Amino acid sequence: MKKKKLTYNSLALGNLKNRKKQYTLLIIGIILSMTLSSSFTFFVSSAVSSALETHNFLYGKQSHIIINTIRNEDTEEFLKSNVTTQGYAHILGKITAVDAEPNTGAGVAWLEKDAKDLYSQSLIEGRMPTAENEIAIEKSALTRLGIDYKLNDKITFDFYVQNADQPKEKPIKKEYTLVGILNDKRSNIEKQSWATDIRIPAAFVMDNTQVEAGGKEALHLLISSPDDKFISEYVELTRPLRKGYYGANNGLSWYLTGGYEIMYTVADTFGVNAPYLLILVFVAVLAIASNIGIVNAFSTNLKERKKQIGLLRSVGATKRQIIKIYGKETFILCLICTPVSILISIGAVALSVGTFGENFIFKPSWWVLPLSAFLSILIVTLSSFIPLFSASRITPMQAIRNISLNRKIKTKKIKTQKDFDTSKLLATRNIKLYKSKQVFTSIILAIAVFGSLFGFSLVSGIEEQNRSFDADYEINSDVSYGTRQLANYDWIRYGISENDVQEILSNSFVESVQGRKETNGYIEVEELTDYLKLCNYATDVYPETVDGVVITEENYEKYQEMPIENTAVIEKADITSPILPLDFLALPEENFKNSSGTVLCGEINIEKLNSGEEVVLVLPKALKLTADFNEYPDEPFLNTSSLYIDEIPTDEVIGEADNENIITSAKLTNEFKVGQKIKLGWIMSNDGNRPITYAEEGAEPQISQEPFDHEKIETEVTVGTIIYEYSGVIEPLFNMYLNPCVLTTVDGLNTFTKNVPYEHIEINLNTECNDSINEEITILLDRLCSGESASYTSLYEIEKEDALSVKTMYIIITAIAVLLFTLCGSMINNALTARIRESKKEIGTLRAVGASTKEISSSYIRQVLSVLGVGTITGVVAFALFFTIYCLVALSYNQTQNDFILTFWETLVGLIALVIACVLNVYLKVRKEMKHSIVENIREL
Amino acid sequence: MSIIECKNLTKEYLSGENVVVALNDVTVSFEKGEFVAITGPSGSGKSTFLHCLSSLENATSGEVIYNNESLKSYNDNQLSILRRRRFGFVFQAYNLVEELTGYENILLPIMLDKKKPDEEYLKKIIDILGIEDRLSHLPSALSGGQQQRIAIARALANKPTILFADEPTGNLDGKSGREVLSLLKYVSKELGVTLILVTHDLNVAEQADRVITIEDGAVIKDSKNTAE
Repeated sequence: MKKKKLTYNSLALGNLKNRKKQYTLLIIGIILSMTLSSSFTFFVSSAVSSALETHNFLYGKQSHIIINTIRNEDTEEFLKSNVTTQGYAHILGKITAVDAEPNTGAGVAWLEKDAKDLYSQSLIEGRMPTAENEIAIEKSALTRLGIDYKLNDKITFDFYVQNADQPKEKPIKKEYTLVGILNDKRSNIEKQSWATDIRIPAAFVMDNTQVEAGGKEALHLLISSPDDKFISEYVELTRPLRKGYYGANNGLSWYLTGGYEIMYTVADTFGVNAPYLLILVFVAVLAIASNIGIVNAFSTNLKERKKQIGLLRSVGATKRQIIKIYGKETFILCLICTPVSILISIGAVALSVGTFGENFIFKPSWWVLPLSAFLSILIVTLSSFIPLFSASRITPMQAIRNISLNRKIKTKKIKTQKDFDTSKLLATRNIKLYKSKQVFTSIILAIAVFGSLFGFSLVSGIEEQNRSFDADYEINSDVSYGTRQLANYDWIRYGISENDVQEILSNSFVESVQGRKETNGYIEVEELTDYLKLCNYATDVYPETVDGVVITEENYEKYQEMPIENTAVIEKADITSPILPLDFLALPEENFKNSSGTVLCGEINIEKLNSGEEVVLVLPKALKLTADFNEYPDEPFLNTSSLYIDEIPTDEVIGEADNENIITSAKLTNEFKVGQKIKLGWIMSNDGNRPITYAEEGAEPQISQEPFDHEKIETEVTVGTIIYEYSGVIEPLFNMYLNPCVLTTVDGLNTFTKNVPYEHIEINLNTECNDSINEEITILLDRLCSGESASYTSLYEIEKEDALSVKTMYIIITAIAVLLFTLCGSMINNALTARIRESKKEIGTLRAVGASTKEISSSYIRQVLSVLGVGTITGVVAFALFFTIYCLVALSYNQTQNDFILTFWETLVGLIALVIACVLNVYLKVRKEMKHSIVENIREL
Repeated sequence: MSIIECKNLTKEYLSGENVVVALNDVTVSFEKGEFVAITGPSGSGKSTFLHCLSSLENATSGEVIYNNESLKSYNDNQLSILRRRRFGFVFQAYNLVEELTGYENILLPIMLDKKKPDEEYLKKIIDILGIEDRLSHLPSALSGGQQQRIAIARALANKPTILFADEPTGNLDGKSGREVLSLLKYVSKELGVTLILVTHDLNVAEQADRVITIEDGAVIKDSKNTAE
């Protein structure tokens, strides 16, 4: 007979072969725990890859696009040493439909090879141009151009030839064959950066196409991952090269702000910050849980084999040898479990990613596989060593006679029961004596219960907080109206006009369009009183002293010089009387209907507002000038603040310091009266430029000598109402914070001038929005907003995204809860199977003295229920504590917590399923033992 | 009148592919109050006979009749009730429930039967067995002899009609063994319990009223002891 050599390997393999059943359970436990951790590695890696892929698809790989750059040896050299990847886009001009508005067009360009790679162009249909007069256009650009496209159509465009930094003003006619339709980049970049920049190209021609005669191409530089230092150095490098080239009005920095900084993060692309934060928290919890799971599985396995370890020790095996034998087993288990759990993880994640949205793809990075395998092996090895070391410390007699257990038992104070329910007593005694064996399971269950309650309550909270919009679409002007600006230049008058609103209203799905307008204007006054001088800092005139308090540029906190351009406007518009520059705000009628909570003088008469007869003034009842000695005792800062009615100080208070060492120095009272006639004015400039010039770059601005093309509108109205308290209190009425302003209805403002675009528009549909309606409306809005310094938001899409985000969170938390509960189930199963196997003799004895199946199984079921009960109660109590503390912390900040909405049913379902599975399993295991004869049970193995 | 009897009792085991006959067509009956010793060499089938007779194990064929009723028709639950009410068992390895104290082990069959313990009766047994000071201990804190006394008390707690003992002195030293045996004898006589005891020790067998010798699964001798 061939003798087999006895090695650690053969011993370990022999163990595995001979104890298949026990090892099957151990392997299941390990695979489950490993699957937990590796699934999340794959998931997170796929999430990151998906986000990057989606980002690259939507925006391109470049991190910046520097508009209208310079290219020479110096810049090339600089780029070579500072940027890993860069490429140029050659801008040849822009195209529009024939006789269309110039600002509706698409930039025409060709990209160099590296730029093509960075821009990640992809065709929807057709091909890229390969011959002269062929063109490929991005899909949404075609919509903007108003072209009902078909491939290979010959289309005539108005072509504005590029002339260095800008296209020429007069177009030529040019015919192109449409050979390809590209996925959008420009409109996505535009949406993401909240800027309308026609200079980002959306139409592409053959490589190396030359600019039309008489023109000069512009170059845009696409780069990946530069930093702020790079940008500032690049500015310095190109500054002298640009001087005099692009014209004095166009400062260098202006071009650089045209570069788009695109931050790509997972959360940005999916818009689901919360789930990813949750994932991070749960990954940590899962790593701990899976570790506990494996430690427990090994402990159970080794405890069952105490006798074997004792025997090996009694025949002379050293601790090191014991560790080696069982360490080999661990290694073999790793070899079996690692590939299996990785395969399960890959399968599970690959199958489930689709549910997270179409942009979510299964594409883990290459290093995830070895990392996952390494982590799995590391976790198993570390987890196995804890019980292994404790097992190796057992003396032979302890192991064989189970002395350590006996010792433990002796130390327990057991009180003899004289009347008992056998199954109950056995269960409680077992729990008391083998408490440590149940601890791990209870901890995992407590984590599962806590995690489940936490996760589902958080998602419910997020779901509840999900934005619910009053409107279906919003359009916002991208132009910011400076409150310190007096004139309305033509470039801030781009936006959604009354005609656009009529066009939106003509769509059959649109029920209503409501908007808000904002413009810069002034009130002509007889005299600029101290109140007027201090209530709006755009006046540029400050009182030298107010009630003896000297106001200087240094000590008045709100001191700001009026911009020279306002001085220029006043001069050029021939404004001779004193004026109070103010914002003019026009709101929909709806906003005026509920004025409760607003402190006003007079009554709002909507009809008179609509007819332009009256306006509302929003100006505080009184201002107080205060001196703050608190931080600067020697030279106190002066400040003004508007006052609520009940805060207006009495004359006695003036000059006294309050608790915070602030002295009220003066009280200034609003002099306007209801019924008073006032003269309003607006300056509408038809120039793109301000009436100022710069002698050279960086020099102080001066009032331009050029004529200022403008229109001055003046009208006399009655002050119908004065709103005194406009800070905070007014918010419920207008749902916005108001500066001092002249307020009227949109119709009212239109009676003065219709030349003011909408600053904000809300569109409501007459039917429930769906994907096809949304597509129709967005095409319309896309066209209307194009080139109009406005951007639209489909609130329908946001709600849809929110719903998807909540669905994603539900799936993640459900998956985690299921895995954790399964892990608990597996641990309880492991522990009880081992316990039942250990107790075979006891079961036989109980049967011999007349215990029935019901009584025996009931004893084990009670044990299971008590472990589950302890875990559940711990988890619930921990969550209740956390929740209470969270509420108290929120209360201490005077907030009501609404991040969590308590929900129990998901956890309850998980627990019920766990209880059923465990109870059934125990019952079947006991039944199985009961199938053997009593003698077989009792017989020593 | 026989309290328990077996007719044509056969027990076969499968050992690999071979069939091992442990009991071969055994027919024996036992009288009430009798002390019967079953002897034979190792592997003769004496323990198997006791197990089959006491319903701890099912026979391959044949039947056991208790109080003129065949146990064949009994289901698992009925057999459990029979074991806790009518039979008492004493094993060579004591087989006490590790998690229960001595007294709880004694009470086990009574509690399983959901009855009130007969305190006086229990006290009497405990006195006879001399274990009153060991009742609150867990089995692991008791010596072999003490554990076996507890096991005997447990077997008698529910006032059984038959006491089955499988090598009850096998794990004990000579002195303890003798003590346990005389206690078994005394208690069974005192309480009128039939004692069926398996032993390979001829000295033990000599003390029985009747000795049944088994060899190769068959009864080869069934004789009354007249020595007493």
